[in-house]
Amino acid sequence: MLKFLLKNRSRILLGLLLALAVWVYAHRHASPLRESGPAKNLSLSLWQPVQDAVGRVLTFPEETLNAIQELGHLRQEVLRLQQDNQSLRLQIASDQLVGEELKRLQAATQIKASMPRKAKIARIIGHDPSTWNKSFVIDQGSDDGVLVDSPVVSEQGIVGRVIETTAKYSRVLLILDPDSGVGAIDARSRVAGVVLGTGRNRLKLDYVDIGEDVQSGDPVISSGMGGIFPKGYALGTVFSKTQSDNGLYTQIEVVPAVDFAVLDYVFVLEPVNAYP
Amino acid sequence: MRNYALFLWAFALFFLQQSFASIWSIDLGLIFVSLVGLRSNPLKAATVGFGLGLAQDLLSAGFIGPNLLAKILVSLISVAAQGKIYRERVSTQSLLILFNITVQQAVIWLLMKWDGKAPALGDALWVALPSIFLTTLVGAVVCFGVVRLRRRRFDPATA
Repeated sequence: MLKFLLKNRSRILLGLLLALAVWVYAHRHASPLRESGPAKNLSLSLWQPVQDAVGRVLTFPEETLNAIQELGHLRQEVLRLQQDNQSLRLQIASDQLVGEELKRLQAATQIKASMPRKAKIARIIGHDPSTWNKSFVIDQGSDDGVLVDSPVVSEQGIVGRVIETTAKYSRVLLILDPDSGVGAIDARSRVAGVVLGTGRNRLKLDYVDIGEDVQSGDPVISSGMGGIFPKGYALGTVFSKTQSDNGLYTQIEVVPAVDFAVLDYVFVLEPVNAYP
Repeated sequence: MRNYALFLWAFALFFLQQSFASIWSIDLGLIFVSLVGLRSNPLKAATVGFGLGLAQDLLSAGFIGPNLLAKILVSLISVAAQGKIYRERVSTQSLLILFNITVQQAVIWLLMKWDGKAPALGDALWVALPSIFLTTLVGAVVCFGVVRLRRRRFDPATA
């Protein structure tokens, strides 16, 4: 028996490896292995510090050279900023007067103004290694106050939402991912639908009835429905409009507002339910 | 290739994969698994495929399994190709990478479809085709380097 095992150890080990792979796949929905489960959380905690550190080391020479080049422009920049500072101080003084007037009006009319959302700036430190999923990792985690389901935006519009956090890092699921869906409205005609990810650099505005007024070039914004994404942020622009296979819905292709290929930094907002 | 060298290469490739390659839909892991599979025994090739596929699944937003199974499959395809193709030629290695990336994308899409999470066929083609094209292109460049290096090392007269 022992002789047989020794003689065929490569085949046995290969068989065990294949069985392990099938076992892992078969248990993909079990608690430790599921999406955003402990196994993924542990690997994120272990690998991302390495990715982050190696990335910093490799970009250090380039950043140092850039900093040296920028030194020459700094003096002019300081003078310009001092002038800007003076004019902004005047502007602030004027705004304070307006702000006080607004407060008095709000108190008088009992209107509750929507609070400005707090945003944390985060650097993208790693992209999804699989070609089928669209996500990235940012250098802000639960220690920085990032929570699961926090919306993530850029100055161009909605980027995605946080699906997983560790102490120092978080994973953001992009709106391009096939698992992603955002309540949306056509900003021109106010027609509502759901913007779905397709896995590629296009979105779909789905669940729009036939005959609704949606045209190419219409801006699409978030509707605030679904309780994750805040209302009024840009999602994209309508590119084309076709009828679905079953003839019940109009499928609308949307070009995302955000250029995901050049994103370096994003803003993490507080979850929508953090505001009453 | 020695085991520690394999590990270091896999580490470096995985770093590059997360840094920029995946933005361009290039699968460096697949190129590595294909080339290792061409020069290893089945157990070693499958272990490399298992390791890289599992790491890819663990660090992606999807569920665990598709890359793991697909990478093991392509590693075994590469091992099986050892006796069928002349492996010290750029064109044959590149064709193997083209075949492997096509198989991998088809397997992953089918597994996602089985799980009810696959994009529609039209969208899937838009995801898979750039990946197939660019991975093969980068693979051809890597194969060129590998062939030149190996020729310089083992057959300097023809290098």
